[in-house]
Amino acid sequence: MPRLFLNRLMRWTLMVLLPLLTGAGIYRFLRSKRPAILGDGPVVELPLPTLLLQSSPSLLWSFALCSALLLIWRPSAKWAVWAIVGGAVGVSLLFEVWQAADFGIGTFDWKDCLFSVAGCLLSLLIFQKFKFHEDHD
Amino acid sequence: MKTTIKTLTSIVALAFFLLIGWATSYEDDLLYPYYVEFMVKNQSDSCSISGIGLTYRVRRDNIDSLNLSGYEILPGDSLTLESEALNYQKLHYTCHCPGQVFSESISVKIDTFSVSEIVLDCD
Repeated sequence: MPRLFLNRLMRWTLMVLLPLLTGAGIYRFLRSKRPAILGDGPVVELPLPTLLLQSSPSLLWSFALCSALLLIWRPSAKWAVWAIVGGAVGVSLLFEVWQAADFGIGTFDWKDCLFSVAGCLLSLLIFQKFKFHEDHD
Repeated sequence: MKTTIKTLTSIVALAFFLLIGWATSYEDDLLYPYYVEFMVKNQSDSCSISGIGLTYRVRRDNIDSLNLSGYEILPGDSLTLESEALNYQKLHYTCHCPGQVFSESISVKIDTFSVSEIVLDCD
């Protein structure tokens, strides 16, 4: 039982918490333009492509969202897996559509859409590869 | 029962992610320090300048503008303005020269730490 708990804790840490913290870290330390919630502060200038700095937080957010849903449901049926991944992709894209329609704050970027879908697919890939659905209660 | 718990957990997780997504969507457009002072100098001998406006970049690609059209700068005069420290890209202005009126624009980069001097010449 403790082993199962530790396994799950590790999965949640690696697949949900760590991506979220990494995304926040990219915003806070590597980007001069950052969410207001993260405040002011010095920026570390790293020779990274702009695309990576701008869109990787979207990928990490979608990855974490999809992972969280997959880890909660641990689906084994193919349709259920794709329903969850589709839902996560839908929610991620909804944010961009919301921004494109000018309903909410933020800026629409088609690259964010691609990175969001990639994040969900990457999560699915890891979920399938390590057979996380076989972890029964 | 198990499905109910999973559904509720999913709703809580989704709400948490939406909150994070919403909070990180709002990128601050203001630069530090939040206000800049800059001087616009009219170097022209005969033209006055009015209709001053600044365009600035919002977040990644959007352009917005700040209208300062209430000012007029006579030939040889200068005007010091204070404004929010935004990503200013261009300064637009209208030249009122004897016999003709025309619009111009120049690229600007306003210093956030010292007073920038922008020299305009309609001649």
